[in-house]
Amino acid sequence: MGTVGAWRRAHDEAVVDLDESPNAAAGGGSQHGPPTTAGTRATPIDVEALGDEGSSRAKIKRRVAVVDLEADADQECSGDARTTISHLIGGNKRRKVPPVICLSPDREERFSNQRNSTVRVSTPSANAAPKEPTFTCPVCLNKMELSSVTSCGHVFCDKCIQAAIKAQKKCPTCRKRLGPKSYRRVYLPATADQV
Amino acid sequence: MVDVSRVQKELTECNRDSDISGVSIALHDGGSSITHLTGTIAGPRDSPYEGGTFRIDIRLPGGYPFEPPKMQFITKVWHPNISSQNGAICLDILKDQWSPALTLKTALLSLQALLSAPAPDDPQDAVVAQQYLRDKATFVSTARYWTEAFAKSDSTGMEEKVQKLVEMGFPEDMVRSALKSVNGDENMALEKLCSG
Ligand SMILES: [Zn+2]
Ligand SMILES: [Zn+2]
Repeated sequence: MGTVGAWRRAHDEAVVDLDESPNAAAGGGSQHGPPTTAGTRATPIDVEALGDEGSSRAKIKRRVAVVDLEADADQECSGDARTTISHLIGGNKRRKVPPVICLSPDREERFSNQRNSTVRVSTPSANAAPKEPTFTCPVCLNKMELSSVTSCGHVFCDKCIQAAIKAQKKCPTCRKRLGPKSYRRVYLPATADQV
Repeated sequence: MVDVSRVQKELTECNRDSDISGVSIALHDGGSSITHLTGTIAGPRDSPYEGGTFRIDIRLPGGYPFEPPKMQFITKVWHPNISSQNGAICLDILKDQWSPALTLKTALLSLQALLSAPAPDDPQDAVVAQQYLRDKATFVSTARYWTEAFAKSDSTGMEEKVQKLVEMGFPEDMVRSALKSVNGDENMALEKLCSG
């Protein structure tokens, strides 16, 4: 329960240092954890603080412990694959397959998917489209599908941001107000999540 | 419809480090509905809730995660932002400040932080809030008494649970640490023991 004390101290400022992982905090106060234990999943902080609108400041006191997803991307984090809080644009998900860089989707399949002894016939469209990256969407927690970027720069599945805007008219990550056209398709580089 | 795949991921993720985070989630009463859950929060250290285990009723509305989860304390608790009558919670992220990028775990962590840092200016329970503001010492002792009386009842059945799991063939020390890590939840301890 070291984390409780750690974030309570920080809580007064409504922002908790994201580098402070639960493990590190439990072990020794406020020292920063090693990159591999980047504890953003368990570390509550204030989303709103990053929204940075003067009007929101007054309410900050009550926003006790909200995990911020944006900072996760900013963090230099080698991350582990078990994250729930997604990696947005930081490219910090460790791959299980060796980092074979290969521009042809169907060749990469042969390299990385060794269980598969048969080579799948790829459709023309599969050849033409860039390989989808393996980012995790912060809303559905699944592999990002049809990645889309908001006007505030946050990335989600197309269906997820659409549903989020419909429900709340704001960005899930930073709470900026968004309209139905405040996002567009974005094509993330396939190798961005490799070191 | 509730995003079932997301909720399952959330449960796995939350329970993986529950011994560190102090929060965990299980299906309500070991039931089968993924939309009715029970969360547990370990009372934060250096607060009147320390040593207590607080159970939270969690219901997921059809629009989850685009609508906030409905959370309410099952365990009686004396706190300015939690109703001493029915456990209703006043916390903005469970209302208009919810975001689909938050999770059940982050919500429980927020509740844990709320236990540490009451906000009496925006109370759910006016009587408790008044006491908190006017007579902090009495507040602390009342909150501590409630913790003793209501949030530690789980520990009474602990030996029975240990016994039961040991009879299933698990080593006693492992049983005890598993039970401890899930705040005495027998089913979750069993799950933990089975998964190694
Ligand atoms: Zn998504
Ligand atoms: Zn945003």
